[in-house]
Amino acid sequence: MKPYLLAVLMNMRDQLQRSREWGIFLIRIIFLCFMILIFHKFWLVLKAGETHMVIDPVSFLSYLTVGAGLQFSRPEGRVKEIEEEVRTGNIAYRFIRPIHFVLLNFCECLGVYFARLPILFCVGTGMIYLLTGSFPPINPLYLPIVLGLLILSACFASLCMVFIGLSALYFYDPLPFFWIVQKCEYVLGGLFFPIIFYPEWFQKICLMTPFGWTGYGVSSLIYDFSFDNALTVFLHLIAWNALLLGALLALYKTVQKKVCVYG
Amino acid sequence: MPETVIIADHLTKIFKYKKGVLGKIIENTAVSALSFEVKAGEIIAFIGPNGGGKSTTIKMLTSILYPSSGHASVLGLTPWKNREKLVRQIGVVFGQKSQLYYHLSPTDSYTLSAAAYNLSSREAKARVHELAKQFEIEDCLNLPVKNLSLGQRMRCELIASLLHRPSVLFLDEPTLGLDIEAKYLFRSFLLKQAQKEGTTVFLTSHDVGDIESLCHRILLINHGKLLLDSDIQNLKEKYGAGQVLCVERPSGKIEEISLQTTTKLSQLKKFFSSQPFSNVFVRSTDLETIIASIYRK
Repeated sequence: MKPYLLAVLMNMRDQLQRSREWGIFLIRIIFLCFMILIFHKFWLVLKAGETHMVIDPVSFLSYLTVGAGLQFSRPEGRVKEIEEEVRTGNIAYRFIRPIHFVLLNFCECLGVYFARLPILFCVGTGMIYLLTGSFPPINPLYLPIVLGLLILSACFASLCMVFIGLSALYFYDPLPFFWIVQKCEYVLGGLFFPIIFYPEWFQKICLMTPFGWTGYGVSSLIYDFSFDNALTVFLHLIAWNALLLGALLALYKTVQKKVCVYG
Repeated sequence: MPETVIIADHLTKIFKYKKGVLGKIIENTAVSALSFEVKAGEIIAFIGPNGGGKSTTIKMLTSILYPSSGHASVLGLTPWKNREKLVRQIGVVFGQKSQLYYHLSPTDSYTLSAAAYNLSSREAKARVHELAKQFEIEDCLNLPVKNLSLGQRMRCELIASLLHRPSVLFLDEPTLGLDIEAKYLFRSFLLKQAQKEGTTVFLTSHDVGDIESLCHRILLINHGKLLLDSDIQNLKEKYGAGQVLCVERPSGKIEEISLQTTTKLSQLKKFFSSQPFSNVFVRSTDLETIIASIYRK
């Protein structure tokens, strides 16, 4: 496991050291702040017209920070890199290293998440405090459990990216699949609105997909934590991660056999 | 008797292309029933013209490609079946492809590789230091790989491939694009390493300098078939007849006649008497000429 742990740490360090990465990341931080601000205003307008709200603004903004934090921490460039390696056949040269390509890329993605997520959460929490005068409504004792589930959610997103990249074996350009996954995360994962706002039949559909658990499932714990909820989310995340990992390893095996590099 | 570390037995690779979506499949035989053996500690030049099948063979022996048929064994392992085991015992350098992590420094790449090879960090550091010193590359180890010059990168690649003291080293055109000084360093370093650690080296190169200064034996392939398997001395004697008689005419033009064991005195008399000459000297046939003549045949 040592090389994989090192890959996580090296990528974390790289994210925090390289100015180019910071340039990209700063834009995301600004966007998150802007988003929280817009939704805060939006919530105030909604609140003015309604007497009863399903969740209060602090809970909603905290929910938004967790969901958007996961989205904005994603190293999506990795999909293109893997896709290019498969398409050009260069991935074949990775086979001669004693490091598993899938695990290495997965760990590299996780390293980026680990570097970006805490910063985005701190910034988001700061913004929420500035706008509402309150901190996210979660007991700090439960925070490690939510963080653990967030890591599982990041694992699913990382596996998803490697899977889409490797699918270049069959599709010349698999990037549209990535966009589809992204849109599913927005809608089925309830990125901008918790799925409790959706009609009941659509909520059921959302929870039948992994996105309902990686997005809404984890993010909703920030305002509605219970051990039962956390356990349900945990089991679903484990199941979806295991399923995707299995499919990914099968795809990788096919890539190893079929990828062609001439001359 | 040294043990055999590489065996290729009727190794064949056929690439298949589909012409259009519903078009017929076109086959291109890159390697055809190739058979040879390499003993431990040998330094082999695996040569041939472009498109001859050298790189495809190396890729099959290093588990990058699956063969269409035939068998191969490297250190007793079938490359495509025992990939994970094999890659821990061999080192590979492809001149045109970097094995290092592009966005990391060579040191980071070595740290990752060392962990994968189960080397302790102390052991790995000592090994990198030893290799980097020999290769005069200590200053570049902490720069990102993408910022290194070709010569620096190639030396770093070689260090990465030797980190775990591999028993067999596969080098595919490792001196491609290097300047004379870098080539010289590369060769002397490789020779030292091979002698010191008894590494078997399987080298493909278009640079005859690499072959002459490093290799004991030549395997020559073309169109995927083995044309020749000979040690260099035998090759020179058999195909170059060792010597070339050179005659400098008063105009400065140099004419040559190859001295074969079958060369007749009458031929030499005719050669000398055809025109006046100002100088006569004998030189050995160079390997490049011999190889070129075999390619032509």
